[in-house]
Amino acid sequence: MMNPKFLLALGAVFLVAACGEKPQTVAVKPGQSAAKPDDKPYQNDQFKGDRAAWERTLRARADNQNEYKRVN
Amino acid sequence: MARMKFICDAERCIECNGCVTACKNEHDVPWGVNRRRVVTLNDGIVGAERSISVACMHCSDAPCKAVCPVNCFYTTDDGVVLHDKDLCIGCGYCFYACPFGAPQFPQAGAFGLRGKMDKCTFCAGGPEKDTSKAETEKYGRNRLAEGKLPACAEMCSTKALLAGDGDVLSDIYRERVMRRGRGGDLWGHATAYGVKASAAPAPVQPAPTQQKS
Amino acid sequence: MLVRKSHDVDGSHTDRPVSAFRRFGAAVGGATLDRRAFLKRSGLGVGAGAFAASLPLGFVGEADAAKSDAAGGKEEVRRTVCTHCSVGCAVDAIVENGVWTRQEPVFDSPINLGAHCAKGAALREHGHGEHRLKYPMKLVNGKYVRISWEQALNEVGDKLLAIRNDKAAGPDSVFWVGSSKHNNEQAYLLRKFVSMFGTNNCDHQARICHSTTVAGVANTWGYGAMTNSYNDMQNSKCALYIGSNAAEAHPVSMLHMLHAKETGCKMIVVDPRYTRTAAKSDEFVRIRSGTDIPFLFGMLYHIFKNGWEDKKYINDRVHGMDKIKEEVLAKWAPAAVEEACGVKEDQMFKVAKMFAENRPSTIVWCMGQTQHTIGNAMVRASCILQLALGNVGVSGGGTNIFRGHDNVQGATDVGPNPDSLPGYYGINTGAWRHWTTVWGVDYEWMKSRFQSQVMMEKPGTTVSRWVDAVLDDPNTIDQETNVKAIVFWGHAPNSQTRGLDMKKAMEKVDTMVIIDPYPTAAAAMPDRKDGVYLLPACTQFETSGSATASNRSIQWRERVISPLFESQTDHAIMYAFAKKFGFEKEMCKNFKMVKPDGDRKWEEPEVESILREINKGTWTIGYTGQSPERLKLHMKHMNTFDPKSLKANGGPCDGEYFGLPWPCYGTPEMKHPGSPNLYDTSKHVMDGGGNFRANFGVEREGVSLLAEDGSHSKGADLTTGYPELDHVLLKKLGWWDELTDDEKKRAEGKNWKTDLSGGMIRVFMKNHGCHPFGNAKARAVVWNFPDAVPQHREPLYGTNVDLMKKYPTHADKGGAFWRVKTLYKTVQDKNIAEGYHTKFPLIMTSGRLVEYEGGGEETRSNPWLAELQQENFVEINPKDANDRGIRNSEYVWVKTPTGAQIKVKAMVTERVASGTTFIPFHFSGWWQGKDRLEKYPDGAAPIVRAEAVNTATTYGYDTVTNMQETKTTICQVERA
Repeated sequence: MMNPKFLLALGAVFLVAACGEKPQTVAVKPGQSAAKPDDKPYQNDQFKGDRAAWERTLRARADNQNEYKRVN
Repeated sequence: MARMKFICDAERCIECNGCVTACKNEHDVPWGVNRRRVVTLNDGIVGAERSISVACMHCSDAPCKAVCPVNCFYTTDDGVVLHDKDLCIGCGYCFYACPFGAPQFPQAGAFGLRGKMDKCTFCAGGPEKDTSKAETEKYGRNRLAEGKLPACAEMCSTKALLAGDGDVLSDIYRERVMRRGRGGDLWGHATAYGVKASAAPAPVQPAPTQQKS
Repeated sequence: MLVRKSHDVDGSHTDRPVSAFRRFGAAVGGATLDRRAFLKRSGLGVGAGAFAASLPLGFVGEADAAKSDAAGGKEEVRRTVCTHCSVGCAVDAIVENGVWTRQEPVFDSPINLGAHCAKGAALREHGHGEHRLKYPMKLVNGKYVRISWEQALNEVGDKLLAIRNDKAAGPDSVFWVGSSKHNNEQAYLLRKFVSMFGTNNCDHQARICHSTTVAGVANTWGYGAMTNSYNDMQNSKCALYIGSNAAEAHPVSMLHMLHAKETGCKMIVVDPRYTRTAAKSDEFVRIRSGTDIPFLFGMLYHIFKNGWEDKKYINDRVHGMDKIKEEVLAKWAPAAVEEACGVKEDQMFKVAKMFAENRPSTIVWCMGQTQHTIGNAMVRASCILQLALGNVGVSGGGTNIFRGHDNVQGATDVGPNPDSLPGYYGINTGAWRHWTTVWGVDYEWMKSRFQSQVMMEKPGTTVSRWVDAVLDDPNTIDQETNVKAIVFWGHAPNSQTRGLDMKKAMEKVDTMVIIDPYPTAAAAMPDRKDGVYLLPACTQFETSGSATASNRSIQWRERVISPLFESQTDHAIMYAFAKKFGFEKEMCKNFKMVKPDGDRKWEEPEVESILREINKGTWTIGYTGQSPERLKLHMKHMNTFDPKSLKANGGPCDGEYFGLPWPCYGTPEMKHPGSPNLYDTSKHVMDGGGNFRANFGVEREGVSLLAEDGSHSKGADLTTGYPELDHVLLKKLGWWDELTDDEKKRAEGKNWKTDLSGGMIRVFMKNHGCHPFGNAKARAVVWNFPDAVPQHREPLYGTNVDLMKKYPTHADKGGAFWRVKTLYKTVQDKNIAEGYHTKFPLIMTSGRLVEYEGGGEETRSNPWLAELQQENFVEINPKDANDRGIRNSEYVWVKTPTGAQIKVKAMVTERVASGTTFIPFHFSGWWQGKDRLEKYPDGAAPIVRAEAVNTATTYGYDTVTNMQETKTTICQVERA
């Protein structure tokens, strides 16, 4: 299988060559995500950046999946 | 530090599809796009039938991430594999790489034009601001940021599908295995996370067909 | 796999919910995020779409969640209960500015612990209702046209009044099919409404669900209900499912079962199919459809042979087991069992041993056992098995009869039954006097509403037989003349058998009225030009009220949203028609009238005040203690109840059982905690304990029917068997003076069921620990039934002629049986003579799919569910398929002796054995190969339409209750 990155780069070259517009591709760096940076799930009004509090909440929530906590 | 995982206990899964509709409901996933589905193996074969709920497993070493030509995937601190739909070009490589068939491509208009990839987010949205309108529109609800776990697992009818921090899941599963006196088949666990669940002995192979009628 | 689809089927006929931007720009719609927005999320959509909600029609200009940010809207949480089955799963609905935007699991619920099946997890779609019936409609020249509510009420009312006032017809010529999806208050009000219209011709889904259970079980030991609970199955050491596919029909019940399995419970599944439930069993037993009695008695054979029965229990608490033992040992030796049901001796022995040695053991049955011409006998065979092992009245034991609809138990208890007023009081003079007193109306006025006192005290016809009440020769019908108008008030006709005849009946009646959130199959089935009215009722999420789960727990639903579109609540519609008919004052005498939505919706009786009236009159089954206040308190403090025992430990409901499972005797002030397990002598009656009911006399053929000494409920002052409580007994015991003066006045001349003061019950239970319905033996022999000792009889339509001759059906019945003649022998003999078993050599049975419920109109209109099951299918064994040249996924014709043929997809599978086929029953909208989309009102057809199995089902009815035979008939399958 041909390397997809290669194909893409090839396409981009033609695009740029044809129109002279700015490149339409994202800068791809191998092994590194190009996605926008994401908030941490605890950076909000509910958890106020407190990771430990968020983890405690989730652990408690996860216990709801264990009915042995309420019945044996 | 939390490491988010899914496990599906085949001893408990009854293919009720509660996880499937819980997902549809929570994220308003349209007809034809299935972030989660339930698969039944050896359907109707006495003693060998097993059902398993499958979605993106948020693999430790995610193959989708490795093949993406635009590197739109990222793994959060908690092990959730997400992607940036603004970057996705809908090429479908991730679909071919994924051992679970998780990536979905909404058909958009004529000529079978493929939309941007959509998949299970572990109810954690995407890179937009958490629980914002933009995030909800593109990725669905962000339950993790609300201190809740994925809707599919929370609503599972028999608590077969479990979601959350891997350590907590191990505790839950271990207790069941001890009660049963035997392990079950944690299908896909080794593929996704590279290790067997700590309490799970070797997966039970489907029993040979005893009573083919 | 054929039926689990993730992509569209061929697009020729489905009217898909999300395709082609159908919602775009429309005022209806109402999804919180439609396809357009989803595509936009994927970067491919056009235009801007607001998240949150496009508003349902009824909300335009009022609520405005669309403008609020997804994150910023004002959220309210309303606690409700799923309406899709009898498990009773609680749901927290999140409502933003009047729009239902999310649903959250209720982990606190002791019943479901947050869990849901596909239907429960898709509940929020009720807040969209895109495929609902949106306004009143009338069939004009073969097309449905919109009319106003005023016109609808007037026209329908005038037509029904004309029939009522016609001397040659009368009130009995209108048949009212009520609903097990009404809440208790609505079901109760409908029985009252129909009574005041002047007829007993009303019924509901319980007839075709568990009527044989209710009759068989009540006649065995007192009450016709599930004895224990889903939760209590966690206490079982062995569970036997026979004729129940709980994994699909009651999925959340499996949470308790699989938990029990992990803690050592054995699970046996007996079924003609290898179901999803069977896949979880320790032992699967495949029986030939309809042979439950040979199987159950085959188990008893080994139990008696090995002395595994509970001899002391049988001696103390069971009447007639000796006769059963004699019968079993004489008739059901292993060879006869294997011949009849196909199970070999070694497996029979293994199962009997497993069930007997792992006590307490419980038995579960559903439609697989009830829907037969001998259903009443099959359910009794199950009861007898449990009595022999001493498993009834024991935690972990019991007969766990899983009911179907969310409130089918409640509607059976207090709703529109043709042979009883609320609370199983019956319809004799005493019953009418009791209820007219509770209602505060004059008995003579009530009588004047009926054609005569005779008709007032004659059971009406049943929902399974209204077709015959329309079509039969009027001379054979036990009322003035035929039924001329049918009202479907929340009922899917495709869940009834004999579709061909039903279509004819629908075309023959003068008027059809459909009152429902959906048009239902009834709107699209008949080929009529006019005379059909569709009136939009709302769902249970648009009103409040109580619903009784299968385990008799009663839960209160808060209203989630106000009625969508032009729909009204069922009780508002009843009130509106009562006004039209001129009895609204009598009907609502005790009710507070309210307008929950101001002038946008109608005035209606307040739900709480209806429940208070139920509390005031329903002493027989203890619906008296569950006041609205107590029920609401339970809903609020679910977390305090133990999921295994259902008992609250501390908190405001301390010591009570969740949902005050009936019987919850006495007044609310008496604080009875409800009864988690019936007939349980290990508990005090004020802690939910009890014993078997004295309801069949005190003596039979010189033998006492009362319980033996010492087998009383814990702490009872009477340690012998005793009859039911009345004023004479209380006086004889010297306890009369414990009543207050006021109570004495009201209790004089009464019994525990008619003493409206509740004083006698208070004294008997609280002061003396005794049970108001007495303490007697359960009956293994029910002498007032056609087969006092349950007999196996082959179905009317069978494939094995030798066995049909060996185990023939009953003699025909005359016209007095629920007002219509009912045939048995004539039909079976004819089928044998015609050689139908050679033309139709396959057994056809039917059942459930997890994604759909009942007739399926509601669930097939929900895109999240509809996507998962897009076509109807027939399961056929690979051998039978190969013999017919049929391949998987091909269309086939299924033909039956009625001359019907239905077109479904073949599912070639080993789930069924060779010789048996299975078709799910939730579909409708096709008729013998043709999609009838054009017969539905525009925009209100369900997303998935397919062939109804009942188009092809055959004749056959239970000998006690007129339950329809759906589980064993015959067919041929051919390539289409």
